[in-house]
Amino acid sequence: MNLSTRNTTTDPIVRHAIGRWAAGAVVLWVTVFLGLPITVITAGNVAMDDVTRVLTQQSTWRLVWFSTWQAVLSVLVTFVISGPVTWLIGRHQFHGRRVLRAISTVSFLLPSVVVATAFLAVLPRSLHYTVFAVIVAHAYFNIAVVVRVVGARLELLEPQLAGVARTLGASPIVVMRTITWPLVRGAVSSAASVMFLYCFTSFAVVRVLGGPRRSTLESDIALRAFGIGDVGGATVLALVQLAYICVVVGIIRLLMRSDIAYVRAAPPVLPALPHQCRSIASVIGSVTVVFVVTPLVALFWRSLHVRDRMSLEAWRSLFDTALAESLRASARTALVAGVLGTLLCCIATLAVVHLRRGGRAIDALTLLTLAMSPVTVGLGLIVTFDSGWFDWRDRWWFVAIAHTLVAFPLAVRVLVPAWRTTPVGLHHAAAVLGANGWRRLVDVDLRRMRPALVAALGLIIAVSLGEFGAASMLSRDGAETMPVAINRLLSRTGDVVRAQAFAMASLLVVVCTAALIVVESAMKRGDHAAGR
Amino acid sequence: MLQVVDLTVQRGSRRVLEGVSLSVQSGERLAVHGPSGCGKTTLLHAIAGLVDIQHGVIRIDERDISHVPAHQRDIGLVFQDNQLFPHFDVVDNVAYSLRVRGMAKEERRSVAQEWLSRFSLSGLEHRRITELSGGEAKRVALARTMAGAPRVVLLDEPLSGLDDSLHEQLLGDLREVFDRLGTTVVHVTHDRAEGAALCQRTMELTHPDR
Repeated sequence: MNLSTRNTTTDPIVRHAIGRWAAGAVVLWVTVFLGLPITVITAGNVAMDDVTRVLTQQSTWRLVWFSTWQAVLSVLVTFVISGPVTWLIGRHQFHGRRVLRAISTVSFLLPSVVVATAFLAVLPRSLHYTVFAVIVAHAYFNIAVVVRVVGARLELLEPQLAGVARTLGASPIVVMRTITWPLVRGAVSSAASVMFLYCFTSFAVVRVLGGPRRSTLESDIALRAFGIGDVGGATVLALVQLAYICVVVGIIRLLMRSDIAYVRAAPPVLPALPHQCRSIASVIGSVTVVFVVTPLVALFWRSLHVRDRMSLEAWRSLFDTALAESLRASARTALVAGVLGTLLCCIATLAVVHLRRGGRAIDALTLLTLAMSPVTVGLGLIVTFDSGWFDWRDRWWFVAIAHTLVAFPLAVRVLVPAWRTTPVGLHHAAAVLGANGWRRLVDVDLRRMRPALVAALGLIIAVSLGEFGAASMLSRDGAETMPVAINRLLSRTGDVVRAQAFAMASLLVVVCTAALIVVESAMKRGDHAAGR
Repeated sequence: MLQVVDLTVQRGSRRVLEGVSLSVQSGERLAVHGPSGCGKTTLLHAIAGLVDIQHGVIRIDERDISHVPAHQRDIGLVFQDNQLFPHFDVVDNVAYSLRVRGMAKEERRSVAQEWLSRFSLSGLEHRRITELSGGEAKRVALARTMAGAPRVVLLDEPLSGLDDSLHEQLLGDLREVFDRLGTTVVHVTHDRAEGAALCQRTMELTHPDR
């Protein structure tokens, strides 16, 4: 079966025209809601004085230093925690492997504010507002990244390569050094860089678990812009952060150039877990499950306890107080972001698959939006759209616009591969059976793309539900999204409000896990339909 | 001399090999035939030390190596699907066994170069593995195994999937190399003519449950 890149229409002129229109639409959207705001905050709010003031302050470099070392330490701790389970899942077949993988990746789509809240629920008070709490919470998130990125590469490694090396005289350590490590090194650096960027720009975790004395660049941008009204200083910090990220991304790309492209069509059959390794595997599996599940259980448990006794008070208050408005705000924001984002994704996908160089440029543009910190996106939007007809700061859908920018690059990476794996033969078969271009689009493309579209929609909704950085900038009192409301509740004292925060976070866990299940099953159906 | 006595290998509850014995004199070449799934590949992997054995003894020159780790057995194995290291070029694949023994870079490159020329691979030293044809990849796999000068060479269907002329040519090359070096060989193949052309003796392996 020919699985080469295929196109909706066989006419290259029409194809190119569709691609150009699609690319134009994406560029317009990104320019208006990202390019313009960045230009406005850069040009309109940064005076030379601000630059000098911020860059000469010792506190700025302390922020950079703290952001860097906590991110490096978080990455190292993540590898220590997730290494054994990744090796177990990636190299061996055993009963319960799929369940263990599902549990270890459950944190993938959990909102950062929820994870931070869960660690408040599970850690003793003496560890609240410490660097330890921040780093462990970062590691909790990042387990999923290591299992997904490094585990997937390990699965693709041919188990017999190690056997060959051993028959050629290599000891197990030499096999690891000369064969296994060079073949997984690229995945390890890729995972490390994703985790580093995530931890470096961490906002919710640092804000909830770090306490008032600890800030990353990201959380200080928010504090300056909205806490003390220093928009100029916040903008300079945002630019410092952007420059830092660009340098890191550049270094990562240089490192990745030496990655070995070792791609197999399908994973080889993994060897069964050796008998003598079963007990150590049970320990690794159990520790991982306990590490992932305990904070979530603690979150739910603490939501049921008010003033040291069991109570449903916190849960009831979610639905009959002002907090209910947060649920409604989150739901409608996520729905609008989902619909808008999926539409934008489809358009971006058309541009990527129909244009050659232009497609690569659109792909890079979506990556750029991914690299922008949500707080900076929110700051830019609020500064830009603030007057006359374009004063959208009070509009509830403004948050949804920000969420499409944050989430659609991820969803494009779901749609493009699905579109590209539609066999060209199916298209030709439909054509010779009399289907015109539209019928082929409906009967072949859309039918095959349906699981990927559902997955993209679910992904954007899940990201929107949990997004905290941009929402904390754009949400207004009375229409806060759930993560913003959770943060506000946690900043107040009292057993009841804390239990309410735990209850709301528990609700987000349930909704986001449901969205994740929808995404996973849709992607599985898509893989099945593509014959993978 | 390679000796296998009453070898049994089990995978889960299934016996893949049961009570298999064979003996190959130094410099002798033995062809092993048998239907699909009778355990031919498992037999080679057991001799090479890549699978655990449940019962039996494997000896080389009277020394029991049944529980010696694979990398200390000095037995070379050519896999059916070559299993070339994808992150090395041709010459580094061939020189791998010399590298793990600590041979200096220049020296091992020169030895590898010799083996490349014996298998008509000169000029392909720095070719990537993904750029080789099926026949070239087979030759690299054979050169890689031979470069380490193992005491016994195990061949797992080394010529399968090649067209007739390439098959004949490579068979001739192998015979010449083995004759010159006096290599002890166990050659698993389903092609009886190939076995007879390369080996002095043949052996039939049957399913353990028959």
